[in-house]
This record gives sequence, C-alpha cells and structure tokens, in this order.
Amino acid sequence: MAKKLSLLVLSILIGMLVVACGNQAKQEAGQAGNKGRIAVVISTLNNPWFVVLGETAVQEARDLGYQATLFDSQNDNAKETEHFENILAAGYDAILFNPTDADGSVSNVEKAGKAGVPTFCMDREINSDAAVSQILSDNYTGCVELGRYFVEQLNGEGEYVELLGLVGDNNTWNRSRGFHSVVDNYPDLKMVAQQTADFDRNTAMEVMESILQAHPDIDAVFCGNDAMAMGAYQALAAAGKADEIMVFGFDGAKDVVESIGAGKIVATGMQFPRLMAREAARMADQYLNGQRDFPEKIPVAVELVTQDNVSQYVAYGKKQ
Amino acid sequence: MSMEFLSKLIEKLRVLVKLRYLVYAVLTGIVLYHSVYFEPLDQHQLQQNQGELQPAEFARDFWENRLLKNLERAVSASKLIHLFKNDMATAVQQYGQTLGISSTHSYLVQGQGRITAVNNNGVEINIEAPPDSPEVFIETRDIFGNAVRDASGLLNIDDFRSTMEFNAISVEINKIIREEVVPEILQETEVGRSIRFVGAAEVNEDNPEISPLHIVPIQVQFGDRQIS
Repeated sequence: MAKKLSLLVLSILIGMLVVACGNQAKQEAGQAGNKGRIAVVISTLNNPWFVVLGETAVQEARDLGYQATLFDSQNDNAKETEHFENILAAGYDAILFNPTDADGSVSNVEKAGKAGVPTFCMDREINSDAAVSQILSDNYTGCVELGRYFVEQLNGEGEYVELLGLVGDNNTWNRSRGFHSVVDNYPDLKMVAQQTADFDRNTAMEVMESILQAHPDIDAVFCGNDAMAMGAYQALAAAGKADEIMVFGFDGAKDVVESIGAGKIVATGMQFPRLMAREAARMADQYLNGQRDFPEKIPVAVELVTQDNVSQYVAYGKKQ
Repeated sequence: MSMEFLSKLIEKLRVLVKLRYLVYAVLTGIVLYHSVYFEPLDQHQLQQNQGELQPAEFARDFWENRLLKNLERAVSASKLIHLFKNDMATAVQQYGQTLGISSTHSYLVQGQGRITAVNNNGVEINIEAPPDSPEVFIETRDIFGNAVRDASGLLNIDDFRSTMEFNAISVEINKIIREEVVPEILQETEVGRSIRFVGAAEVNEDNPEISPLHIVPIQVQFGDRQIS
C-alpha cells in the first residue's frame, strides 16, 4: 500500500514537472515570436534616420510577438527586388517596407500581394494601391511651414540654393513643391541653383562646394533632408561662410536638432519615424489577425523645429 | 551557244539582279513604314495624359461644382472662436477636418463684420457678434497650404494615385483664389465697410493661434460703407 502511494505521489510530481516545463516552453516560444515572421525592408541603413525607422519597426514587431528581420536595400532597386524574392521564398507573413523608388518598387509589392503577403509602406510611398496601407509624413505641408519660416528669416528677399533628394522619391518632390508653393510668391527671393545630392551628406558637401564657386554670395540653402543639410553646413563652414548663409533641412535628425540648439542650422521639419514604424507594425499585426479595412494612405504631420522651439524636441521626435 | 545569246543572257541577269535589290528596297521600306509612325507631339501628349489626373481641370471642377455648392456647411466664426477658447475638443470633433495623424485641423468658416484694418498681407475684420467681438484676418498674400482642400471635407486622399497628385490639387485651388477671389477683395476692401465671408482656417489644437483667426478666402461679399 505504501509502495503504491509512493508511486502515485511520484507520478503526480512527474506530471506537474512535465506541465510546468511545457508552459515554460510555450512562454519562451511566445517571446521568440511564434505568431509569425515579419520582414522589414529599408531603403538604406547608411542614413541614421532610416536606421531608426527600421530598428523601431523590428522592435515593435518583436514586441507584438513576431520574429522580425531587417533588410537593407542600399538605395538599390535591384537589391530590393532580391530581398523581396528571398522574403517570399522564405515564407514571411508580412512586409514593412520603405521603398527605394515610387514607381520602380511597385512590382515588388505587387508580387508580394499575389503571393498573399501584405505590404505596409513606411515614410515613402509607391504610386500604386498594391500596398495594404502607406503611412507617410505629410512632406508637402511640412515644407509649406518651412517655406513660410524661410521667407520670414530672409525678410522676403535674397538668393538661395536648393539641394534636392533622390529624384525617384515622391518625398523629394512633395518637399520641393511645398517649399516653392510659398517661396515662389516672393519675387525678390531668387533661386540661383537647384541640384540633387541624393539625400546624401557627402554628396551634398561636394555639390555645395561646387555651387559656392559659382555663387559665393548666397543667403540661404534649403536642403530636402537633414543629411544634406549637414553636408551643406560642412561645406559652408570650410569656406568660412557658416555664419553668413542660413541652412534649412528636413527630417529631425539628431545632429541637426543639436545644431539648431547650438544656433547653427536654422530650422528643420521634424518627422516621426518611430510613430510611422510602430503604426506599420501594428497594422501588420491587425491584418494577420483578420482585419482588412485599412486606409490606403495615412499622412503624419511634420512639425517645424526652429532655434526658438528646439527645446521641445529631441532627435526623431518630441520630448514627452 | 552564240556570243550574242550569252551577252543577252548576261544582260538579262544583270537587270534581274538590279531588280532584286529594288525588290529588297521596296520590301524594307514597307516593313519600316509599318514599324515607325509619326504623330504631332501635342496629340501624343494628350493621349498619354488621358488616363492621368489633370490637376487644373480637377481643381476647377471641384471649385465650381462641389465646393461653392457646399458652403452652407461652414460654421460661424464667432461660435468656432468661442469653442477654441473654451472647448477645443468639441471644436475639433464637430467642425474640424483632419488629414491623417495631426494636431492641426481645418475648418470651413463663415461670418460677417466690418473691416477694421487693411495691409499688404490681408484684411482684419471685427465680427459683429458681441460680447467679445472676435477678430478675423482674411489672407490676401499668404494663399498656400491645404486649408481649403481639407476644410471642405469633400476630398479623400485615397481617391488619388499619390500624395503628389493630392497636393497638386491644393496648388491649383490656391491659384484660383489668388487669381479670382483676392483681386476682388483688394479692389473693394475699405476700412469701415461691411463684409460677409466664407473661407478656410487651419488651427493647431496644441498651439491655437486665433487672435486673430487667419482665414483663406473662398467667397466674399461687400456691403455698405460705414458713414462716419
């Protein structure tokens, strides 16, 4: 009898141990992301702004219970296509996507859609309704506000230069057109040069150096992103003109926010990459849980950051 | 076989060879003709653009056939300003139009009052609505942004292929205002004169700038001149 009782107790104890181990395994599997797999494809990780976008998307996807992997397209549409092929072959469940080209990236998203893999665009749009939803900064309105401030700072007159971003990116043209929709109404403000520097800091520095040779007496530079603003500022500093020529950027990157705080760069437009990345990840989660009605486009407001209000902001966002 | 016969044969062969090249040339010409065609550039561009949005045309149609026919939904400026000061949440919820995720909202606003000041940037109006008689500023210079497009609540960004197309509509709407509404204001405006207006305002709920409330004009009517 005692032997049978001991066996019974032992069996119960072993059973409890097995159940406990099973729960532990389930918990660990949940933490490892067994809800599915999400791919985060970013145009380039050579720019800190996009690093924040990508890493936030990955972290949010993991926090929601997914395995998430970051892919760098290196600003190359062919590389991006290769990533999509690998992602679809590997059986990912959803894609959070920052396109390299508004037209060139459409076929990748269409392929994913045909394979039943939903794509959510972040920051940059594609000229198509193939994505489930696109969460984008309202670049145009942001640059209308920047344009107003630009006119105010120059008292409506002077000569300026514009450095454009990648010509295949709709953001380039939304920003430029928003800016010009204001500034072009002031005939005493003259644009003496407009050139692309591909959203790249080093390229912007070289382009600015070259433009300064032909136009040494400009009053301001408007740059389509903060990386180019830093490059332009570097070129101006090297030429001893950083105190004479105002520099305006767009993004809200760490180095520019600090530069504005130090009274160097004049202003930027603060985008919210963390908000866009988190929202895209949440939408992917909702989609994978059965929701299907999403707005095709979700603009996110951009806020003007100047030397007067920079204390309210931090890199890539606002102080809480 | 005589030499004469051979000569004639050779001559005939030479003619045939020349004919062969002629036939080749004719055949090549026919193939090329059907491979390449010419048409006037403007006709080609017209065909290309037929599937694409034409912002100027769209904006004109929107302005005349939708916006101007829906101005009765505009909220009274004095009521709106009172809400901005005392109950922003209600102002946003009941009268604001919001594009995406933003703290700035657009409003379709109407009112009437007397012109109290005029400058290069616009016209200041005192709305006849005691007790606080708020001020409104009708813009005549800074006609840009999306206030009119968004305040109407009649356009949906998802109906456009890209944000560039959607923003192009604002550019064209603002052009109509600058070319057709503002000149009348500049011509008729006079301190002391009564004015009735409908327009669009953008207000940030976190930092509302409402003293005065800046309005992009859509429609204005001038009344009597004040006899002093």
